[in-house]
Amino acid sequence: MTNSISCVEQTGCILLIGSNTTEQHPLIGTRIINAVKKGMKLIVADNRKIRLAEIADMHIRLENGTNVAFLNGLMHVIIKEGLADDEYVKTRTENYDELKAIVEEYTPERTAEICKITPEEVVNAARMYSAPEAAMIVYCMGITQHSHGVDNVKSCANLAMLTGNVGKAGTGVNPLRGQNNVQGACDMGALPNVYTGYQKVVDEASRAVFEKAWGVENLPGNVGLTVTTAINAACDGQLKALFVLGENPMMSDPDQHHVKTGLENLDFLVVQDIFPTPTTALADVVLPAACYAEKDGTFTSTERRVQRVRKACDPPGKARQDWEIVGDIAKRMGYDGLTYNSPEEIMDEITRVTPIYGGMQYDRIDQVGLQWPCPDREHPGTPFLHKGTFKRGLGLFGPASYMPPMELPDEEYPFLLATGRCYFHFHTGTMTRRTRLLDREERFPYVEINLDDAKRLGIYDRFPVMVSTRRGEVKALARVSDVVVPGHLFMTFHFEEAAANALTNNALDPVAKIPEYKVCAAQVRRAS
Amino acid sequence: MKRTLTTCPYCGTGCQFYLLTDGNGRLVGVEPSSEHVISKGQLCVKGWNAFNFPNHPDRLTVPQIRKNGKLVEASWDEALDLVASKLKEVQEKHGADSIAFFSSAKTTNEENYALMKLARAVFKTNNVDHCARL
Amino acid sequence: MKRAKTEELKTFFESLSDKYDLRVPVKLHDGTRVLGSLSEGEFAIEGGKIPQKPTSVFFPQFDEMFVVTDGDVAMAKPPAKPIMVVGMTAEDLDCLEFIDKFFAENFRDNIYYNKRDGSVVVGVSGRCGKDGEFMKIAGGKCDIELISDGECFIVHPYTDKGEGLVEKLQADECGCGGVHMEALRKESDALPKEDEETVDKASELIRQGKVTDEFWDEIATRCIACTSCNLACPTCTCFEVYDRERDGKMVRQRIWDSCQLDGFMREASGHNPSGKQLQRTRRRIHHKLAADVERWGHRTCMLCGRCDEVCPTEIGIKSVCREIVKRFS
Repeated sequence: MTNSISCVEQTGCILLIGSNTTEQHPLIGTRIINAVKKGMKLIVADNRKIRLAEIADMHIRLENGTNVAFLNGLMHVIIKEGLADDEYVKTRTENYDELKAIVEEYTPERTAEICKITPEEVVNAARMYSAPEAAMIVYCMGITQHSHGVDNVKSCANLAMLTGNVGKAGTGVNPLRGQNNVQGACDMGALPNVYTGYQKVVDEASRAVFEKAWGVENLPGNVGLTVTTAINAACDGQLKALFVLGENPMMSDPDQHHVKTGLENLDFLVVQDIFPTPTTALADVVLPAACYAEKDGTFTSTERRVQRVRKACDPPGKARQDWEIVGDIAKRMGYDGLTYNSPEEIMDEITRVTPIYGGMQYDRIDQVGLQWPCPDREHPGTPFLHKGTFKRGLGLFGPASYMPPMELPDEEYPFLLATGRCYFHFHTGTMTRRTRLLDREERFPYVEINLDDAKRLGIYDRFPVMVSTRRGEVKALARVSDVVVPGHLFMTFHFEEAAANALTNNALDPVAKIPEYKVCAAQVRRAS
Repeated sequence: MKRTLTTCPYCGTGCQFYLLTDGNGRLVGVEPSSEHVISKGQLCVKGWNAFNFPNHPDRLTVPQIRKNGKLVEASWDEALDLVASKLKEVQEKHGADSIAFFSSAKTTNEENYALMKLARAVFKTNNVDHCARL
Repeated sequence: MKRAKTEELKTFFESLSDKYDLRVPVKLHDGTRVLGSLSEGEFAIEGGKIPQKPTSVFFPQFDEMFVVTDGDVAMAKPPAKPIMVVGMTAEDLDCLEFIDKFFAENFRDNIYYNKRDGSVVVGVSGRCGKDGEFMKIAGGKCDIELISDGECFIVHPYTDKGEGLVEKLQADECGCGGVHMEALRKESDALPKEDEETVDKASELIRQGKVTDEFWDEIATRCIACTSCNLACPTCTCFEVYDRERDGKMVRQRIWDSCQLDGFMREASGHNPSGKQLQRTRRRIHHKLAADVERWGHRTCMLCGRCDEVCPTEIGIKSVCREIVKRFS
């Protein structure tokens, strides 16, 4: 998030796009509910009738995969009606002319046609978002998990900059991070192109810093493989060994058959985890790890707040903490630079090599966590980014044109399938399905289908159906409602016995390599 | 009874609560932190129940290595020796970029840092990522 | 009666920690007040009610019921030391009185009474609430009540057990012949009764059938099923039972449940008589303000206010009652 969670209480309008906030970030969702009651405007741009849609000022059910067109449509109206923040555009941004030229084509009528909404919705949403002094864009995987995810994100940023909504309280471009430490994993350089604090591996100066800090030579300068492209490389035979720490690609990655082929094709697979999973089942070595309650450390929240995690009990049996295991492997490889006495010692090293974490020593975040950038021990942390200036100087408009998703419904597979999560389960379900109350709430895999479609196909609520795509087929219980529009299906990926990712399409965004989980072509029928 | 202030293991909101541990070292409950800047004494249903999975009987408790197609229990030394020797073998035979490391959005910053450092400093590859995209 | 300084009370409780499993108000690391041992944090008798429900010392979130090994059943045992809980407010003591009754009804819940029997309950009231506000005097329902006059606590035993314990307390006698106490009692009686009147009025309106389903639907739209209202409520007694097997032993366990969850009432077939959020939200309030009035002769919301504080969308029982009275009376 460019801004803080508390900004929800300081904004005049939220454009919520591709986030089911009350289910996926409940205590952010509830802040939105309360803000609406106090008069904040809420625009929900989401195909599904999520809970927040019920209290929103506008619920725009745009077709999945048409976000760029929708956002361009809003910008078209904003420019045309003189609702842009001209002063901000002039002094804080560049490349406005290109943006203007591209959004010129997205008239309300054309936008409405692409998004399957009405021109009035485009016009009204543009006016509502641009009206208040401060407005926020809040999004989640509904924006990013597309073959044009990067374009979607850039379009959000364009809209915010066009209206002067970056760099002050109650504004910003705010992706909600769906996992406890996805922000931290990125900050820590668990990415193929950067070290900690987004210092680029292709940058020789960065490499020199880490070579010195780590006492090694010749750090590689090529960008590595992502999770998704690594699986492709395993299928191709280029990747020979994989070390997986606390992930479950068999359940979380697109096209399960493809993932399985890749993992089976490896010479050597190590999986370090807390529970057995479909991924550990394929491993050559399984290493038992401590869970969050059994260790010290830090997580970084969606608002960039670095907070302490503390050990409340011992790990079961011979399970050990991830950092200890990693250190022992390094030692066996003849490297002592990963031998630490405690997580605090690791954090001290992180603060030395990571400017944005420079002031994140444990004694400083003991009671209240701090938000990065926090460069030194005296710095109070940063509630919102880009105040006064962008990191690169001027904010760069990166306009994009609408491109359709990679696989759209056709005669053979007439439904549009999107996948995501539900309130009671988390990610691949390894923890929540072993939590009594949560497991009881959602025990069976299900597929949401619209009432009209269900009636037409003779499908009844809670009756089993087969959902299939070009990749595979799974059996799930029908959940018949108006949450999804006719022609759409929605499934969650929590259930091993009906893995939604046996169905999904391994189509990736060309830059971010994120899979297109929100659109693929599917078919549904009664299970015999 | 012991109380430990920690951060919720689920979504990225960053709520904090106290984990309750009984005299046998077992987790027996959750109490919200009433003073936390974000959660302010409130939690969602996942947070309230975050004490319930760590002591589930399915937990992995011993290292396992595959022998004759089956995963069998092994000592830490045996398992880690195998990991190191196999990775070294692959690295020597096929080059640094024939190995990849998946880190985790579930584990701590310190552990992500450690795995990232292992990949880059020890195995000399930038093939390190996690499931941010998923 | 004795009149004790905070420090004297602390010393008194410390001296009892050998004999009792002490649960006194302490301030933890980040300022959160809980019922814990004196070693956990700073003694914090002042500051009003404890955010977590104090009845959890007898009915905790998680409990083992029994263990089966090779067909032999070992029931849960009473704790090694009796529990002494300090810091219950007058409302909390009303709650405790009710759940004592509830867990003794029909059959006696031994898992609860294992902890409750032999326990000592110490109430707190007077001028030591949040920001110094006056807390209602209970005048009973506990072994000892600590009544703050703003400087010290008048230590009022109500039971023989309480008398016996107070004898050991090192503190001066008040020596005012009851005048002091009388003044505090008057102050307590004069406390505003708005909450009580509102909730009673709402209870009446619900029982008269004046609150519409449209209203409940509107309230339900704000509920995200976080379950905090139930988990913070000292009179909520629902639990879920499940078994876990490990090392040849089967352990039956129970954990706090919530009527705000779909699975709470769902039948094995999948049919659910409370299958909509509207029904569950209505039930939460109906139960305390209407159904229990019929069953027990009184409402079972004792106005402690915890659900209002933990509800992230401001639909705790007092908020909803205020809305009901505004719209339907």
